[in-house]
Formats: sequence, C-alpha cells, structure tokens
Amino acid sequence: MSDAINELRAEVPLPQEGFEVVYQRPHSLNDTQFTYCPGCQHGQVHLCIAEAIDELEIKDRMIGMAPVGCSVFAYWFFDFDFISCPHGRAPAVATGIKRADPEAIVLSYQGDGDLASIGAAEIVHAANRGEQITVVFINNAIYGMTGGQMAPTSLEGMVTSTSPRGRDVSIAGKPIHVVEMLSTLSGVAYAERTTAHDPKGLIKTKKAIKKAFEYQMEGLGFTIVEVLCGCAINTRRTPKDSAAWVGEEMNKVFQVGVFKDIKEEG
Amino acid sequence: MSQMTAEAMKDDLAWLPKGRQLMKGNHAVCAGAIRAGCTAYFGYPITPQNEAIEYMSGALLDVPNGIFLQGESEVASINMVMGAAAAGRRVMTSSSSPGISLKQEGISYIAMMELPMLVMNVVRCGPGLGNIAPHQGDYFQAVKGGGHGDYRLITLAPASVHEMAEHAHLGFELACKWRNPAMILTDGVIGQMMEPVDLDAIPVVDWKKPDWAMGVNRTGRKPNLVTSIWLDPEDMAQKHLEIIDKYERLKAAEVRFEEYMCDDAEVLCVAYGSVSRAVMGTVRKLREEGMKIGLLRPITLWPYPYATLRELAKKVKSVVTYEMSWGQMIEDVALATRLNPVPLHFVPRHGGLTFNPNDVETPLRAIYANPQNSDTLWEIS
Amino acid sequence: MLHEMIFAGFGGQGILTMGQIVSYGAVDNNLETSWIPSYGPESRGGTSNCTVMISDERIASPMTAAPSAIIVMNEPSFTKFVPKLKPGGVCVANRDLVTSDTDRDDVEIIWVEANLEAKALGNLMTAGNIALGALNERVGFVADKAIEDGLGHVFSGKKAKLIPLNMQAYQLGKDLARKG
Repeated sequence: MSDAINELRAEVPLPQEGFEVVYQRPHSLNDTQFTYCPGCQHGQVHLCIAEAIDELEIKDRMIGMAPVGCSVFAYWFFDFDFISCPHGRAPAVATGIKRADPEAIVLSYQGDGDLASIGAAEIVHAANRGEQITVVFINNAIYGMTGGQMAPTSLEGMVTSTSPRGRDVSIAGKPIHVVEMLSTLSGVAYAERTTAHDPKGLIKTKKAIKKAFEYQMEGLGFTIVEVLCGCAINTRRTPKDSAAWVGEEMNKVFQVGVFKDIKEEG
Repeated sequence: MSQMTAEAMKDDLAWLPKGRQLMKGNHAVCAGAIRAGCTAYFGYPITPQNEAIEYMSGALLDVPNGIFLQGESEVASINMVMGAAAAGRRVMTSSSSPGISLKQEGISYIAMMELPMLVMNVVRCGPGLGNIAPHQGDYFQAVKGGGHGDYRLITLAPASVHEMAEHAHLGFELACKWRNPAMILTDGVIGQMMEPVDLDAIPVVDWKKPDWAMGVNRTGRKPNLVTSIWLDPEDMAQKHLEIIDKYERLKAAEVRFEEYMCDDAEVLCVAYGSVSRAVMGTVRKLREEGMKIGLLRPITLWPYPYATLRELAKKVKSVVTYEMSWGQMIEDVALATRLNPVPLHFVPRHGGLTFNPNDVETPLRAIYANPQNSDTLWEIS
Repeated sequence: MLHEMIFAGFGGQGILTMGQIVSYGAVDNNLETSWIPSYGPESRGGTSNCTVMISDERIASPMTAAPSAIIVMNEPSFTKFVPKLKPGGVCVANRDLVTSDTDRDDVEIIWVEANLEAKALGNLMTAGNIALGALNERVGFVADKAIEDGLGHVFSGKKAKLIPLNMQAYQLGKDLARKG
C-alpha cells in the first residue's frame, strides 16, 4: 500500500527458528491494507470470503464482481480476477461471466443500495434463473460511500442524511427483506442471513459463505448470504456502539438464520 | 484428412450458416456474427429487431458453447454482454432506439473497460416511444458517444442485407482489434428487407479467449482486472491519453466508404444506410440523362470519412445530404467542408417516412439547376 | 433489366408470401432481388403490400414510387397503386374484389377472376398464385422454374404437399393471361 506501511512492515522481525506460523493472511487476499473506515465490517467479511476460498482451494477459479458502493475497490484486496460493475448490475454481469465460463466460481459482492435498490430487478431475475453464482450482500442499512443517505434497508424511524426526521414508512415504505423475498424463488439453492458485528456472527458468516460456494461448485443454483454490518461513520456512532446497534436494533428487524437450503428440503 | 474425418467435420459444422440465401437483414446480421465467432447473445424484445433475438434464440443452441439469454431488461442484457465480453467471448446484443438508450450506461462502461462487443441498433423513429418506422435519429447518439463520458463507438452503416452479415464480421474484427465496442447502425428498411446474402463470403472465425480476459489460463498469473474507474485524476488522465491515442490510430486506419460516380460530379450527394440506396437509384437514373451527379456513402460513420468528403467537395458546385432525421450527419458534412465552403443542402424525411426515389429526385434536379437553391440550402444556425 | 413490382391486397391473402416466392426463386436462379414489406403509413388504408425488385445487376433502391408491374387483389389496392404505375406498366387485378376501373390508357390492366378460379381449384389461397402466373406470363420477370423453386422455400416440410396445387394455379394464371 503506502511506503510508510511497508517501512513499518520491514521493522517487524521475521519468524525465527523454533517459531511456526499459526495464523496468516489468506492467500486469496493480497498484502494491501484495507481502506475501510473504523467500525466497518467489510474487511472482516472480505476475510471470511478469502478464508472460505482458501479452504475450498478455488482461488484460481474465482472471478469477483465489485459493486458501486464502499466496496467498489474490493479488487484492491482480493488476489483473483475482478470486474467492477455498474451500480446494481453485478448479478447481470455475473450471469454473463458464469455462462461464458462455467468453470469459474463467481462472487458478486454487493451492498444494500446496489443490490436492494437500483439493482433490485437484476438480483431477483438472477436468483429466479438459478444463476450458479454466490452473492455476498452487505446490509448496513445505509448508503455509505455517498455519505449516509437512506437505504431500502434503513430501519423505521432511522435518521439518515435523506431522512432527517427518521424514515417515515408512510413515505418510504418499510425496510426490504431481501433473503426472505429471494428464498421464495425456485432458482435459489441457499439463502442465509448472518451478522458480522461480533466474533460468533463472523464464524457463522464464514461458514455460510463457504457453504454457498460449495453449493455453487455442486451446481445447485443461486446462493446468497446477507450479512448485517454497521456503518459507524454515517450513523455517527463509535465502532463499539455501531456493532452493538447491529446486534440489537438491526437484528430485531432482520432475523438471522437460514431461509432456504435446498439440501435441507431434500 | 480421411474421408470419414471430412464427413464428421461436415456434420460438426451443421450449425454454421452458409450458402447464398434470401434473408432478412435482422437474420443476416446474426448469421454473419455466428460465422465471425460470436457464441453469445443477450437481448430483450423490441420492434423492429425481434427477428434478431428470435434467430439467436434458436441458432445459438446449436453453436458449440453457444449462450443465448433473454435478459429481464435492456439494462440487464448489456451488463450480461459486459460479463461475457470480459470472459473473452465474442458477444453481441441488438435492440432498437428506446432500448439502445437504456443500454447506454453499460456501453459507456464497456468503452472505458476497452471490451470488444457488437451491438446492433435497428433505429426507429423517436424521440420517446415514437413509432416503429425506419429513422436515422440516433446518429449523434451512435457516433458522438451516447452514454456519459468521452468515448466513441466504431459505427458501421450497412446499406444492404448482405452488408448486415459482412458488417457483423467487420464489427467483431474491428472491436477485437481495437478493444472498443462496435455498433451496427441500421433501420427497419434494412432489418426487415429480404435480399440475397452470400454467407460463404463471410470469413469463419475460431475465436480464442484473449490474455486479458477473466479466467484465462487460470493458474500462475497475476489477477486480471476489468474496470472503468481510475480515482486519481493523474491516473485517469494517463488512461484518457492512451485511449485518445488509440482513437487517432483507429481513425487513420479504419475509415470505410463507397464512392459512386463521383469522379466528374458537379453535385455530390451524401447518404448512408438505407437512404443511400434510394439516392444511388436516382444518381444512376439522372446519370443516364447526362447529369453529373455522384454519391458518397460513408460505411463507417465513426470514424467518419472527413478527408474524402473534403477532397470531393472541392470539385463540386454543391453537396446534398439526405437523412431521415432533423439534421445530424449534415453537421459532419459541414465539419468536413468547413475549410472550402461549398453550398450545403439538406433533404430530410421525418416521422418515419422513407425516401422514395421521387423524394430524392425532385430536390436534386432543383439543386443541380441552381447550386444555391434556397428551398434546401442549409447553414449552421 | 430491372423489374420494380408491388404486390398488394388485404391481410390474409398471402400477399407478402407471394412476394417471397418470387424473391426466393430469383435467388435460386442467380438474379439480384429485394423484398420489402409495406411500412408505416404505406401499410394503412386496407392494403398489405410488398415491393419486389428483380434485376440482373445490383439493385439500388428497394422501394419505388413508380412500379413497372403490380398485382392488386382488392379494391383499396387498385385505387392506390394503379395511379402510380409507370407508363407502359402492367397491372394484374382481381376482378372478384375490384369493382372500380381506371381512366389510364397508358398502362395495361389484366383482369383475372382470381377468387372464383381459385375456388374452382379447391383452395381460395391459390388466388395469389393465379395472379402471379398472369403477371409473369405478360412481363416475364423470372423463369417458371424460379416460381417452383420459390414455392419450395415457402412451402417446406409438411406444407410441401401444397406445391403442386400452387404450381397448377400459377399455370392457370399464365393460361388466362395468354387468352386475354
């Protein structure tokens, strides 16, 4: 990343004889430092994805879709092929890629504005067609990159820069429940909602993402993992309070759990 | 090669469009594309190009590794095209004016990503929903950009059904050579018309995934990135300069046009696509009467044959532009002739009305008799 | 030699197919041709029509304001296209559905009772091919073999059994035109 970071790194003593590596950066991430804000869980979710890919040994087959939103530069961090997609269109681009290259394992990484608002049509139809792709859907209930505007997933009464008196559901409707909605479609093989605000949630998130990739590798259909995250900066909270808010307030509105698992259905 | 192998090969190629056939333009473009190595099509129904999506929906089932998908919208379709192009396929889409407007977002991204792909616009009359009759009102959109940002589409204007097939091949060749999207700009006259097509004259291309593509040679290389974002203005400026340089080389190398009886012409007609057919018929007829009239038919609308037009215009008394629009290509004619002013005339057809030979001939006789004929004289205003 | 032809009638009379028979046949016999269906305002007013060009050299305009030969299968087509016919042009008109007449004496009108003759053959849909036979007998825009070839393209597969009847209708049209 920057020279300063590389200098710092050079000062860290290398492992010496008698030491063994017990934890290291996943191979699917490169050595670029995350640029996400304090209190943001994009980095943790990237890590979950990278670890799942490493464990499944599918790095060479991976092709990623970067969305428009805070993770627009996701390809700075992942060490495999990436394409940056127009806002909301990642599932359509992923459709083109996967059909052109069925050997690829395709990851569409999208936020709530991208997926649930401007890209609602693309996600619904990709899911309904049963596209063999894995969508990791970051739901932080707000537009992060553009500076805290109301998202389709913003909670009732939630103050944002475009709902200064709180989200009025008589004007803007209630928050949209993506995985519940998509789980009704026959093309969907796996749909789970997890949370990234605490270690327990992250462990489940990684498991869910790994399962989704496995289902894609088996050709079972469309897979999506919705991950509840916090946006500390735009909700004017400390990272700690933001995580707590996800665990308490967001969790009340967005239930975590598996909404569709084609294998469980038999 | 043994007889059996030859037989097997023959069967293997049953999917390949071939022979001399009477075809609709909308079919010919697809047949030509498949010969040129197109294995993927994504589109959405809209009149008057439905024959294209319908043809591909069947034909691509038989093409080895063929992909056909009817997208949920034009917006989705162009993004599917983006994905397949990024994955190294020769991929096309087709639509008509309102649908092409919806595709512009994706086309802008594709241009900046420097992905090759082919899009056909069977132009209908606009603005808005307009009607489904032939028109040329999307000229500016095609040749001056279309979506947001600076970019150009390689734009081809077929004037016959055979050229529809030929231009599908040419479009893919130029798009891949220059890594730039290409557009076939046509209308319902050429799209719906049937004419003989010599498919055997269209080269057969066995397209291979290029090195820059997603997923190519998967192991032991650095990640390939396809993007249209360069956040640092310095980096973006560098990227712009590279593309500008590419466009300059493209302009120098790829201009295509047809000159028809221009050598001793006193009046030069300029028309493209279906309109050029009506004009050519009239030029032929009036030549038989001894009138010295020629036709310049741009085949590439971008890059535009400015230099040729400039030289031809030096030798004539007036230049007449025929267009089914409110006046678009005429501005490029004016650009081409700006240094040696010659009377410019503009003869339009509106509302989706096409040019009958009479619509060409009557004003042409008046202009031939009087290069300053005020009824058709056009000036930048 | 350039033949600029318009075939017109109402929808359901097989007008567009009639034009395609001629164009398909022309291609099989190495002629240049174009077929274009009526478009926009041209398609309104009770006529369905197509323009067919046949030539031994490159065809310029696929549309014409002054056809050299026309087939009109109903009244609106007659009143619309006969005035456009080139001086010296030929018109085959369906007497059964055209009641009016023309003042023009610089064109040739061949009247054929196409509907009645087709019914006599046992299939009203052959009326168009009767008219086609009459026009080709008078104008000779393609060889008879080209019509048979063209029918082969339009009536393929299961429909191929219709070819003999349609050729019979075409021959009948030729005979009627010869007798005047």
